[in-house]
Amino acid sequence: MGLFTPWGLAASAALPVILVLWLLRRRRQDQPVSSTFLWEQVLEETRANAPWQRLRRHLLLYLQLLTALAIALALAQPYLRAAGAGGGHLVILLDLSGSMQAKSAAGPTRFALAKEEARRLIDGLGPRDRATLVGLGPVPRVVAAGGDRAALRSALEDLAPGNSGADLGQGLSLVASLQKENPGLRAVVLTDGGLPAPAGETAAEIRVLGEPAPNLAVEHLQVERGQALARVGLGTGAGAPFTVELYADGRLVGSRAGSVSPAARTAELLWQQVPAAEVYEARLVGKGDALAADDIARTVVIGESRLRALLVSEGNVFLERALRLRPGLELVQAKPGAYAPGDYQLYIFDGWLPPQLPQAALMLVAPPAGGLFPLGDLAAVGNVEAVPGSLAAGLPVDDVHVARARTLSSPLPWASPILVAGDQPLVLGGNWEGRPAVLTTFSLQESDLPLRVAFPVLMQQLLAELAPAAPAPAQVTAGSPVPLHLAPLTTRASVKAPDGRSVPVALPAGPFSETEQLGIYQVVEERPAGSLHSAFAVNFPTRTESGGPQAGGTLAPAGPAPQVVGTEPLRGNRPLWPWLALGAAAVMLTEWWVYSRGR
Amino acid sequence: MAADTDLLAPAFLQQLDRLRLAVRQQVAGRQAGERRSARRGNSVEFADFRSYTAGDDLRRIDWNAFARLDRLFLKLFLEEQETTLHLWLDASGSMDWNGKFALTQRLAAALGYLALTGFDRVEVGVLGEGGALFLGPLRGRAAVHRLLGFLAGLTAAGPADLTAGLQALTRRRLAPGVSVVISDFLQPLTLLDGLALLQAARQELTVLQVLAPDELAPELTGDLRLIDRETGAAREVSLTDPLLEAYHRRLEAHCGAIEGFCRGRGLGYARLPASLSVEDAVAGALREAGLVK
Repeated sequence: MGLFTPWGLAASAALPVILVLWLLRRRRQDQPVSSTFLWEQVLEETRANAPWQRLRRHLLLYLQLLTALAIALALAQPYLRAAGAGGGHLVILLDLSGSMQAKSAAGPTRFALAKEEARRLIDGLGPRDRATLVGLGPVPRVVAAGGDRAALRSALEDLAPGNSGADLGQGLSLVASLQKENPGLRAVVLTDGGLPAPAGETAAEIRVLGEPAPNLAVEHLQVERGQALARVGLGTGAGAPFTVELYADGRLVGSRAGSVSPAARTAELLWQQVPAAEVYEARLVGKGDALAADDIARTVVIGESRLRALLVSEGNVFLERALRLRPGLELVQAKPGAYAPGDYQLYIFDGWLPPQLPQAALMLVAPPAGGLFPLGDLAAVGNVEAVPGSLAAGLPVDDVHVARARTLSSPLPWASPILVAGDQPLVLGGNWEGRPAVLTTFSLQESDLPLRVAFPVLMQQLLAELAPAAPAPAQVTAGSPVPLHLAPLTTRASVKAPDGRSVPVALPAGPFSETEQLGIYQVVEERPAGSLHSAFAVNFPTRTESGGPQAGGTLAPAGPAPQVVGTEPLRGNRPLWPWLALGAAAVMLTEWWVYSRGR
Repeated sequence: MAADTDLLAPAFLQQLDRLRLAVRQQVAGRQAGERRSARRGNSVEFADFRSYTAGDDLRRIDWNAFARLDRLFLKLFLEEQETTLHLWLDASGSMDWNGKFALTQRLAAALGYLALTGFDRVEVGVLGEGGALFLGPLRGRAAVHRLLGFLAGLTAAGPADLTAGLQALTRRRLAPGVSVVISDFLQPLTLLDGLALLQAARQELTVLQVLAPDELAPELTGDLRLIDRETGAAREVSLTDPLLEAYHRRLEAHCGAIEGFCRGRGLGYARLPASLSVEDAVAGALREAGLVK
């Protein structure tokens, strides 16, 4: 029992006023009568007989005081916490994780069940109740709030489960902050249970909907060197036979049948000699699968480490071989006479320099004297040493000999030495006019470096410097942010989602987080030399959302045990002022009746 | 103050001429309508004739007059005829209310007129503020004027104890006769002792209780301070329906006690509302009370 507006009690100041007025009321009217002889006797009699007769004299006073008291109390708006009363506040948290897409045996998805339950809760609101609808996704979001049931229902219809997880902890802390303002708040979480249990006590009621349904999921797809590996996991249910079809760039390239036993829980399928493609898809074909979203896994093979390089040389086997060692390298060779700049990320100029150096990473192997770089005459070179702290540090270069190397007339301000022979730099690297560049002052034919084991290692290191591999992961789970490692000279970039929507990326690019949709995302980078395409795949988070022991486990809240579907009356605050006002009116009626009876 | 002519209207006087004061039979054994003389052996003085009416004693018939006039007459003797009518009037302050005293005066005038024209003596005693006021004994028609003048000049005011007054009255030697006490009797029932004393003084007593209409049925409402007209005392009352009912009960009880006392002793009793006209009172209530016929 409490008072909404305690200041209303100030109206009880009317009570002493009424008393004072009653006491000061004008004296009785003088009425001459012939004789008070009989009246005296009558009054004696009544006084003796009924003590309450004296009360009747003051009955009207008491009734007036009672009326004033009732009105004062009504103004103070006392309320009683009672079930079924209005004025309550309900927070409905709907699990929007991927597992809510699972169909139950009866047909509707778990999310449909949750929506139905939420609709029931909204319909059960009293005229004075308010509700807040919260969608529990990776970030809880308040979808609607207020007392307008129609608005709540329409906001509920717009909700749909996503493909990622649900952050129940954040949702519950939101509820806790709301509960601080409104102690009578009630929260209901509608979930299928596949959420990590919240820490500590929660004041929310957690309703677990849906039943476990058989579910198989493609947990992992990996394609490497012509081999494809798919792992199928048993989410829930007994094992069932299934078939997995493998698609490369949309073409069916193979299918495997298999079955998963509840004991083993996973099965692995292998394809050999898979044709090269950019996008691979493994699709699960089976009946009675509750969740369809986890039946496809995709992976993107090429893209992040693809490198187009142009080797301009009269012919250098060692260089060519060392370059080809880099995975993902597309090497194009051209003779100096046939040189034409193109869409290459890396240019290797062997003993020749074009009139204009392209805007790309450059490897200048033994460039001729003159030209852009202050290279002098060839001179004999002493022992080769790796510069400590450079990328060649630790490489075994003791047995490397260089016959002749050009001297640098002036030190290159943009380059730092990597390999030196005494004071004479042999290999330098740095950033020249916005381009990563490596320069060697000696020709490979005048050295036995290519025959040494350090050579390919050094080449890989140099290539890594010149054209770092963008380690965009081939596949991520929905909702996870993807780091976009854009090429250094990109001016504009955008990501195209599987539904065709193009999302521009602000440079410098941070992690891309709009990965709710499942499928292949294309990354387009605009560069002066041309545009660059790469892609990544977003898969269903089977680990947490497909059920099974790998899933986060059913919710075991520290609070009251979860209940199955059922509505409960809302506990709210029942205002008492209508009763008090009614009481005051009744007392006033009584007063009028007593008054008229006395006439 | 009413003029003597206002007390009794001429038309009423004519009506009164047809009536006469009646004396009831007090002790079993006496013949109705006949008045016995208390004194025996005295000379019986012939006074008057009276027409014979059915029931009169046949021995009284004057046969000589019958022989002469061919009508029956009764001989009336002085002693038999001489009855004293004592009128005891309450002139306390409570009587000066809503016509009560006016009716009292008129009743006294009517009765006095009846007596005087019937060759009876009349004595008037007025119990008022300054004690008792007396008039009389009056005799004969000529005294009517004096009686009326006296009555008209009366005023009712001040407190008066009826009981004490009646007791004082009876200490005077009263000639046996008819006594009529006219009052509102709104006094303690000790006045019944006074009435008993009167009766013991060989009076044929008739009690006339005059009450104003608003005493019989008060129409008071609300919270009032009642001021007693007679004593000036004040009483605060909050008038509610139950209180009024209690008042009626009390009134009935009080008047009923007086009436019961009278009936029990064979005294005449009449309760007269002050709104009643004297003509109606005489023709109705007084006749019923056996005071006039």
